[in-house]
Amino acid sequence: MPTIVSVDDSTVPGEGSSRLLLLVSSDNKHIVVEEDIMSRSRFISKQVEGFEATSQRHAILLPFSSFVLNKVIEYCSHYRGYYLLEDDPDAAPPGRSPVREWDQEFLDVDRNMLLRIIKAAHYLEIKSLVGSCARAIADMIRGKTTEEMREILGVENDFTPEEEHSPSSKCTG
Amino acid sequence: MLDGRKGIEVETARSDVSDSIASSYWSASAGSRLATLESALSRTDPAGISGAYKQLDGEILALPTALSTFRTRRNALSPICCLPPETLVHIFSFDPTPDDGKPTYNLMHITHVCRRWRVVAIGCPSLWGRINLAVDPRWAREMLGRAKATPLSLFIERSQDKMTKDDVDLIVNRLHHIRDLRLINRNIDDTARSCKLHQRLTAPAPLLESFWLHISNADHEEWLTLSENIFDGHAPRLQQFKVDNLAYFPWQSPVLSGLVELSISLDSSSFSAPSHPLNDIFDAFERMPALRIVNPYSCLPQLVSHEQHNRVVDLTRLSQFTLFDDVCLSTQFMQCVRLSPGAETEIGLRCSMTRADDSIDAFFAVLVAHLGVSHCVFPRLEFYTDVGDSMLVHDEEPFAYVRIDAHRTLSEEDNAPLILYFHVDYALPKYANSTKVLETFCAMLPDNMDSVLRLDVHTGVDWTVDDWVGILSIANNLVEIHAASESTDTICDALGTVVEWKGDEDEHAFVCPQLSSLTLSFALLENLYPYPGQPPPLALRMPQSLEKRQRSGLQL
Repeated sequence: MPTIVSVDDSTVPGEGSSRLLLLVSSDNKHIVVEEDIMSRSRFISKQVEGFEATSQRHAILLPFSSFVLNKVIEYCSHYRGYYLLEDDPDAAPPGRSPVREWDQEFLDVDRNMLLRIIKAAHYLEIKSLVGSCARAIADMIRGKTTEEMREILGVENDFTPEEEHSPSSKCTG
Repeated sequence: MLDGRKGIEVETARSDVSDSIASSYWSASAGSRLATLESALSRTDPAGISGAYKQLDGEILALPTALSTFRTRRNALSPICCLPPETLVHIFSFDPTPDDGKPTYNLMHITHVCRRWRVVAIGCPSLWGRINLAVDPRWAREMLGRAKATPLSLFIERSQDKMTKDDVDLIVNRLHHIRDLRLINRNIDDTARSCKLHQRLTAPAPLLESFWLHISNADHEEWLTLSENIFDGHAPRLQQFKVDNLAYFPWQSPVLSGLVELSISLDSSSFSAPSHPLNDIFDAFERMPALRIVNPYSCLPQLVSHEQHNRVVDLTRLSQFTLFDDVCLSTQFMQCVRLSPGAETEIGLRCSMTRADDSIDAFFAVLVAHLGVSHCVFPRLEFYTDVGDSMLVHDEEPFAYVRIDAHRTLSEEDNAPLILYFHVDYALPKYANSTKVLETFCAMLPDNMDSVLRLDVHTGVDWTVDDWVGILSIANNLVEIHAASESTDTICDALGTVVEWKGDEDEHAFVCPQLSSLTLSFALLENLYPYPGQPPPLALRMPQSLEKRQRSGLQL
């Protein structure tokens, strides 16, 4: 669960049609963003609903860096007002996220950044971004051998010899 | 380790461990264990040596487990392994599926990357439900086990090897569990008839949504038919139904009632195979309210002499309609159906050479009637006219054909012009003059129909100068000629100087500047080749000052 701290009204300006939220990253950067932009995040939406119930305003502390948070905000800003099926809580989830050209360019980042974004997207419950990141990672390992996948994603072969030669392993031919 | 895309050094790279650190590690941890063996190593009695062997073997056996544990701990620090299981599953679910829809086996590699990936992947049954039975039967069975209760997508394609009894049994025994079933047998020596697969699909298929059956039947020794009792009449979720090369289709089966897409290609060589009367087919269409795409190929029944069809079948719910059949059967069918003005329609017809003239005339009348109805709102209409003996000579290229594609480009304007693409391949001896087809068609176009014509002449057409003159005099909306090399001389004789060559070695196209004076609508040039992302194949070089519909200066 995120840590929520009470904030002074003066910290978060904005009353009226477009309310503002204060997001605090793990490196203690304070980022003010319009609520509309972040409404794609189910996590943020639930937090905001909680604020309304208590009539108090809060900052939302998030467990990832401002660099990652800004990328997520950039994504949400781009799709502000757009309907994306994956983010509709009332819609049946699509089997696979569709290919979106803008997303492909947006996610043309180094591997670690991509992994941080997908983790943040998962935390914030932005399914469309999770889907696009998953597709990007899948593209990285598409058609690769096991050894190449390990190399690309920095994973060690941690199987014991017995596990490597388990019955299912023999089926790989 | 360097990231392949950005060349950025990443933190998961294996750190450099110097020899001294490694040495220190062993002296501190393994060294103490080895010390306990010192006394054993100095012994000379057999029992002591045996005990030392056992102790050392135990240490050796334990090492891989220790290494594995260390590597697992190390992986736990890796960003990809820090992702929650559901996110990993999301990544794994993008197991690449090529355009032909057959599942690949990337998942096999994924389960061998590391322990965590294997645990996550195997623990998610939905990842294992897409199974290609043709790759490796052992894996197919392993995947079936891992899929557990997940609805299955089963694919089997045989081209060299035969479909086995095990394949068939596996499918038949799991029909109740299958969501997507695709059976393709291209092995003409097998055709799956020995297994009678097509007749064994008689168990209920409550989860089935998509079904595709393709069986090669090159020798035509036996009619391949689907049982009237297919899926025991129970496939309430079935939306896509595609069958190829059957001799008989169960039009009265209740499993068709929920279809959205129906593609049927019957074996046209099976002339004497049993068939339903046309009314049964119309009845079947009327029992399919959700139908949007219909592709019947050689499946219309033979005409009965006294048969009259005055009924009108409403197919306006279709978004795509493709018909390919005998010219007379197609004509009769088209007279009875009402299509949506917005439906993407492609109609192909096949007729014997001996009745080409009458058949073409009759069918053009029907086509133009549909064209007229759609004049204002049809976004796209295609006609495919195939004239030849292909109906009689199975699996051979038609002796000759003429094709007319008519496209109306999507436009905000209701009166977007119809773009006609007239394609001729080989001469039509019975016609004596291939231009008659074009002449007939142009004569039937409504006067108020705005149209633009392209002419595409391929290898083998032996048109005379008179033919060409005839074409140009008929087609006052001709904007472009596209011709293959063998007919070049004739065309050059007819049209004069070749100005520009363009194309590859096998097929040359040229632009005749004279035609620019025939151009009706230069502004429409970009619409002449209405395939997305591709430019018109030829550039017409003519002054843009030419007025639309101005015809002048034909230099012949």
